[in-house]
Amino acid sequence: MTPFDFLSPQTLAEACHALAAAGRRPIAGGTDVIPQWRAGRFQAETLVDLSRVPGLSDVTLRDGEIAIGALSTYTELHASPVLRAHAPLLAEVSAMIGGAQTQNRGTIGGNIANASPAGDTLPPLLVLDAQVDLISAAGERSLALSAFLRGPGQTASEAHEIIRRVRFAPLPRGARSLFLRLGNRQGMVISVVSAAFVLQLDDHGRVEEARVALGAVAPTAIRCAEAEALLRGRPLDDDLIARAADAAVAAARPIDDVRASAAYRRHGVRVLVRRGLTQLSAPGGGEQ
Amino acid sequence: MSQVTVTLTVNGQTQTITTDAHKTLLYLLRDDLGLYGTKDGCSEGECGACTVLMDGRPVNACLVLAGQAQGRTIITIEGLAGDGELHPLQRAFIRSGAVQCGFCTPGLVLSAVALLERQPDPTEAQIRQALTGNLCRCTGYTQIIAAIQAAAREVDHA
Ligand SMILES: Cc1cc2nc3c(=O)[nH]c(=O)nc-3n(C[C@H](O)[C@H](O)[C@H](O)COP(=O)(O)OP(=O)(O)OC[C@H]3O[C@@H](n4cnc5c(N)ncnc54)[C@H](O)[C@@H]3O)c2cc1C
Ligand code: FES
Ligand code: FES
Repeated sequence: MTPFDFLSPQTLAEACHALAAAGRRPIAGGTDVIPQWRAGRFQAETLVDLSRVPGLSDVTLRDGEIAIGALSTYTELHASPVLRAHAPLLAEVSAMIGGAQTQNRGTIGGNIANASPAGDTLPPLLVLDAQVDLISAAGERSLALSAFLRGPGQTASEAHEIIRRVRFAPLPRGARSLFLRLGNRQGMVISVVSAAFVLQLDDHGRVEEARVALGAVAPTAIRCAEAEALLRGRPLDDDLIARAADAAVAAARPIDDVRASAAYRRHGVRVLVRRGLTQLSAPGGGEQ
Repeated sequence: MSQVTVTLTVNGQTQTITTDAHKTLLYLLRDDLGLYGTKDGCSEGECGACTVLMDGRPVNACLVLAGQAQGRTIITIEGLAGDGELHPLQRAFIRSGAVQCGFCTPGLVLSAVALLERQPDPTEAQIRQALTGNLCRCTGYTQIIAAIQAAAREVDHA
């Protein structure tokens, strides 16, 4: 618990400038930073508070694209009419994270930057094919979330870069989507396994598009390309669901930790993928 | 050690305080302002004993840095009673036997205040949801939920 200095930039340019010096790191809601700092797992000479920078917490739908400002809190995401209409699984996951206190402070940018394998917004953002927009004194760049996440707590961004927003296309009309998680209790838990789904079915119940992502069962949240390929073009029946669940289990690389064993997590993947696809195969299941 | 100077409104009074840059709002309230009603149960966001209202919303004071409270409006448990009269939720907690050791009570009452402001007539499920981030280790949640229901009825008929 080494003491740190505190800076409170009032504009994005000031924030970029403040972070350009060595030993500085951003803080948003602090729901990861403060516990990690107390546990000696977060070091910074100076914390740069992003919460006063204007324009970083809007959720907009413009030119066929949804953009979520990185400083948007879970409370704001849950209430967003844009997300409820066009990416409901993100609105839903926001109500599952911690309690009201955490939801009022925790931000989506913090969840992405923290890059926990169990971060609950990450599987939903992966099935939405989200792009992460970064800005720093050196300029701006944009990365697919799948390329941004490198390992537990590791990302493709540099210490001086700020996540400005995440962007993705709204789900098409009639798309079905869902986020499910397993934890050791109902509330206030870190996910032991999580799964996010986007499905589009044609009039005959055949899968047109399938996206499946898993959390907490690999060094990062992951997409399951094999399960998705298996699902596409086939009728979504019990047999296909069972085979897709097998493919998802094969994609998982879970570890034993304090919350669960690798074997339990593998079983959890099978259960969640079956449960999710079965729910989505029901008439109107998870439909917008 | 590095310091920050913050101006914030606590229980209706605007004050300017200079304190350690790494101090949390929880210890600004306790050490700098002597408001000991806000408790430290875990200092990591898990227990809700440090819950205060910041701009009307419940937050864990243990996870807010002093500097992040600049310009904000804070309500602590000390700010609820007016003119020597307890807030309806405080009265309901006492009457329903929802206070045993009392360590969780300030946080629970503030979470409940925020709930009833948004949702004057909550269902039991909504009450339970609103209290997810507040742990009580002795009274048991049954009396706490009963207290909130009683306060909702009272405020409704007032
Ligand atoms: C009680 C409790 C329960 C929780 N439950 C869950 C849960 O169920 N699921 C879950 O996924 N998480 C959970 N969390 C973790 C946490 O709330 C989330 O990860 C949160 O989204 C982090 O956001 P923040 O704004 O608080 O980030 P901070 O703590 O401020 O920052 C986290 C990290 O991100 C960096 N950072 C923050 N914003 C930016 C930015 N815009 N650009 C670049 N870097 C940035 C910081 O430097 C730091 O490294 C819980 C936390 C608590 C305390
Ligand atoms: S002391 Fe803040 S949540 Fe426990
Ligand atoms: S009354 Fe003791 S912890 Fe709740």
